[in-house]
Amino acid sequence: MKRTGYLGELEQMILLAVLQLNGEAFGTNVLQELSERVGRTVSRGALYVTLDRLEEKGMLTSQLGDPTPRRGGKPKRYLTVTPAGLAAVRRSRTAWLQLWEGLDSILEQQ
Amino acid sequence: MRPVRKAVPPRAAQALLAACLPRGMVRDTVLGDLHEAYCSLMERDPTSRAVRLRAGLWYWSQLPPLCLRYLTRRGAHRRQKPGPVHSSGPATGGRASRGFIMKDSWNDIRFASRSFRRSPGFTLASVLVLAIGIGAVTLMFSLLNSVVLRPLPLEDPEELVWISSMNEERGVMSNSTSALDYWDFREQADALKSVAAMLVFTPQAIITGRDEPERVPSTTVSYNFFSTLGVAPQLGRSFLLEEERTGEQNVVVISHGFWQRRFGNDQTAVGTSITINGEPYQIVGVMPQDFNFPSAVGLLFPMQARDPFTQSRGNNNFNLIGRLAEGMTIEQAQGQMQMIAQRIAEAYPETNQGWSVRLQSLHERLFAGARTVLFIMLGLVSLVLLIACANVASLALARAATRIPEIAVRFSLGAVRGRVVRLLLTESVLVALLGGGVGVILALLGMDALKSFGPGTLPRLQELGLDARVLGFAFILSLATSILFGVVPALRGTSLSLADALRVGGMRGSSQGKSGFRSTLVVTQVALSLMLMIASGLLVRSYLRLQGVDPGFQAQRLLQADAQLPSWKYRSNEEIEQAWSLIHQQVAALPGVVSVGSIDQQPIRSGGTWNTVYPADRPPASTADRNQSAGDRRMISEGYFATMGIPILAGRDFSALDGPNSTLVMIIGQTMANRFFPDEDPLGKQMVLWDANWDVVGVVGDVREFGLAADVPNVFYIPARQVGPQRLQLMVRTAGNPTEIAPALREAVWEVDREIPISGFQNMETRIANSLSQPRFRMILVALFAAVAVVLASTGLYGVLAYFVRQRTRELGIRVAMGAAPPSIIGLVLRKGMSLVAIGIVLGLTGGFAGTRIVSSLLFGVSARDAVTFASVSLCLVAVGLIACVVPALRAVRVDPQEVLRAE
Repeated sequence: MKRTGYLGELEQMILLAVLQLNGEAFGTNVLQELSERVGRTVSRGALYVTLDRLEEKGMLTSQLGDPTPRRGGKPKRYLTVTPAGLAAVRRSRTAWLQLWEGLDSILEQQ
Repeated sequence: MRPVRKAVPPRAAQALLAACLPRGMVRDTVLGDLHEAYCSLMERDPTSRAVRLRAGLWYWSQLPPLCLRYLTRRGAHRRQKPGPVHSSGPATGGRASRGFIMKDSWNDIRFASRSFRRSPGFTLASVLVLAIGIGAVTLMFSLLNSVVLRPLPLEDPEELVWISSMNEERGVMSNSTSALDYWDFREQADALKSVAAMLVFTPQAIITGRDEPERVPSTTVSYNFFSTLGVAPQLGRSFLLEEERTGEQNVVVISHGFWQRRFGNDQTAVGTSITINGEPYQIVGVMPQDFNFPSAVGLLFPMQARDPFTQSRGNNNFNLIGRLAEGMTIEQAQGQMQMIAQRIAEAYPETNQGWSVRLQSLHERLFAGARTVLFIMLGLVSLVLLIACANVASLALARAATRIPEIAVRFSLGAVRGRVVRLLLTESVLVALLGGGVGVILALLGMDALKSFGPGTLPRLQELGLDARVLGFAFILSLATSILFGVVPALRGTSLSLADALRVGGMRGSSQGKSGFRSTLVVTQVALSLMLMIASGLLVRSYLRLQGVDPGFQAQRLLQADAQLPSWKYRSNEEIEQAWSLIHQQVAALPGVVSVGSIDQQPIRSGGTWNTVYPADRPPASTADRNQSAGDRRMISEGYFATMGIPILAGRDFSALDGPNSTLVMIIGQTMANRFFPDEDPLGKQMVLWDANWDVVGVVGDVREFGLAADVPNVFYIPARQVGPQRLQLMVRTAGNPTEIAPALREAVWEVDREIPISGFQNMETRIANSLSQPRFRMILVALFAAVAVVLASTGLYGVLAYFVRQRTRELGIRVAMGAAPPSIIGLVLRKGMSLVAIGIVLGLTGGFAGTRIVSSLLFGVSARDAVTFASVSLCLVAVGLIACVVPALRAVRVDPQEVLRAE
């Protein structure tokens, strides 16, 4: 595992999607959010494994919802971004912005 | 209302997924998410099969990425830390090692796929061979699945029972029931939630008023027919009890197909009026699209007490379908129904003496026939898969021999044997899964072919398709296959000791045993393919026999067309007779028409009308005898026999003079003549039919009324002129292509009356060919299987011999150097090859003798142990075996002794 302290791209996208969903986030609608907002299709396998990893890093926590018949009697895993997660997203954002600075004109010419 | 089935994702997929995910919160929530997403997909239209299929496929498609991610992650993850979620405790150690196993499996998979790239020839050959085997079995299974296994599109179809009347005294095992009996059953049976009735035949109704007159098959049902089956109309309503009782207003429910055709999906069709058989009917309901029972019926009328069909207990015109009451078994319901039948029989001994009822599940009743045939076919096609397995096992053995150095290195680096076996098995599983994937694609292609070329008489053939069950079947089949062909090579490939493996001569020594096992595999393949060839040979011979049967008439350049006089315009015998005469004159005058005749029920059909008939001087002694003395009754016009080419063996044909007011006359078929008048001249004798005497004026040749495979029944003909039927089939002998005359024929009939519908144009040759479509279909399929089997077996034989020659290159070289002549070298290889073939043939013949009883139900005119077939297919296999031996034998002759000795 990378120990740079920065988030991977997918990790970052997922954390942001969870934040966008404002306390209502769980597996399926995070996928929808990613596909609707940025048109990115992520496989469920990648999503769940990344969620587990983020949780292990302490950037996400999850609570279980009530099981319903529609879910085959299985609970829902609601996701929340922890303060550590929030800090990581901020750190990444700052890093990106700093790297972007001054490049706008070059990229526009392309 | 139609129930919405609870949406449940494919269980096999759920179980597989659960096995791959780590236990606890992750597994539960992931499964829950997928379940929910599946439900949302299904909500688009829970009743549609396409949606269900798509949702199932979607669910299965989620599996590979999820499982792979978690399996690889678990391995990697374990090694880093035990993980807080799964806590500590005694289980951790075991779990952790399971994690390593998974990681190892992932490594195995990666290694296996790399090794496939190293030997693409082996991989391609194995995948192809397996794909053919798995594809063929999957295709047959999907046929079985859609024709037989899939539940009927009705509510709780397992509760539905078919109720037939039976009379053991008279040996009548399955019969319809009269309306009066039905009403008694319906009132008294409480073991059945409801009992519905439907007319046994589907009379053609004539629709007029818009466009051209149209004939539509109709049926008459009890008011509760739809509720018993559990299907509600898509639009409008079903029938009311009052409509069955009084029937003051004419109402009709129409099929979805008829609605689309006649009303163009107009929602306001319900409530409108339509002219049926000259009378206005109000449309009260439209059935949903997937409701097609009884099949092809466009109009459904409520049965009515005043209908001619419902009069008297002797008129057994209705089929009964019941729905079992809560908690009732078929046996319990049958017991109660039999008691009711007994009460009815006691009250009406005249008609019901000895009659009882038999209950069987509706599914059984509809599909039992097709099921037997399809299970036999599935059994035969499994032989192909077994051969494919033996073939691939043989390939895997050969490959294992070339890998001895690699395996030896693994051992010397400290690998345990079990670990290496697992690696080899992983390769087998991957090959099998690839083969299964390609096989499913082949099966899909096969399904399209079956839909276009399969026999139209096979029920539900058009619904053939992939569903979760077929996919699951193919998946499990692939896994089972991999075990079948993979285990022995994996065990044998690793059974060498380290010292053996590293010794230079080790390869030669240990491969001796392997070639023995490969020979066993070849013998198995030869034996199995001979069994398939025998089955196919028997079916071919049986089909040829069937095709050679003389139908009793000349089918070439013969066109049939159904015409029906509207009953509201043509009532008296005179009117009807006149109309038919005019029609015959018009048609006969057409250019290209040689002659024309008519009959009410043309030959090559599945059932027909029969009546009690007997010689006037020998009336049957009892009622029972009376019922035994029956003949199939046909009404014909004069000129029918001449048109059909049916020979008049004695007496005369009917003539225009045999009209309604002259003496009643009858012509009998030869079989009937032999039965009633074995030692006397039937001409001039009198027969009793409908309590009247009919003079026998002629005897004609036999006709295969019920298809080429069925026995010739007792048939007798009476003049249409004396009975006045409103519906006849025109049989037209033409000078050229019969179908070209159809438009002119239609115009000729319409010149008599534009309200006469004419349809059902069919070339009689086509009709005969269609009647043979099922046996032809079986023959072609089994012949295909056999061909594939022989190709596989002979490549197997070729492989073993090529290996044999390569292995003995040194020995052969020395022999050639010592002066052995080419014939003796060829003989050596041939002896080796043909001895395998011979053993295979002996085993195959034994298996064939034991097994052909299974196919005997599919045979016509050929014994299941037909010596000619057994001998000829064995010879054929010997010839194929020889060809497979020739190339290796020639290669053996070309061995250059100098090269061999130099290598030493």
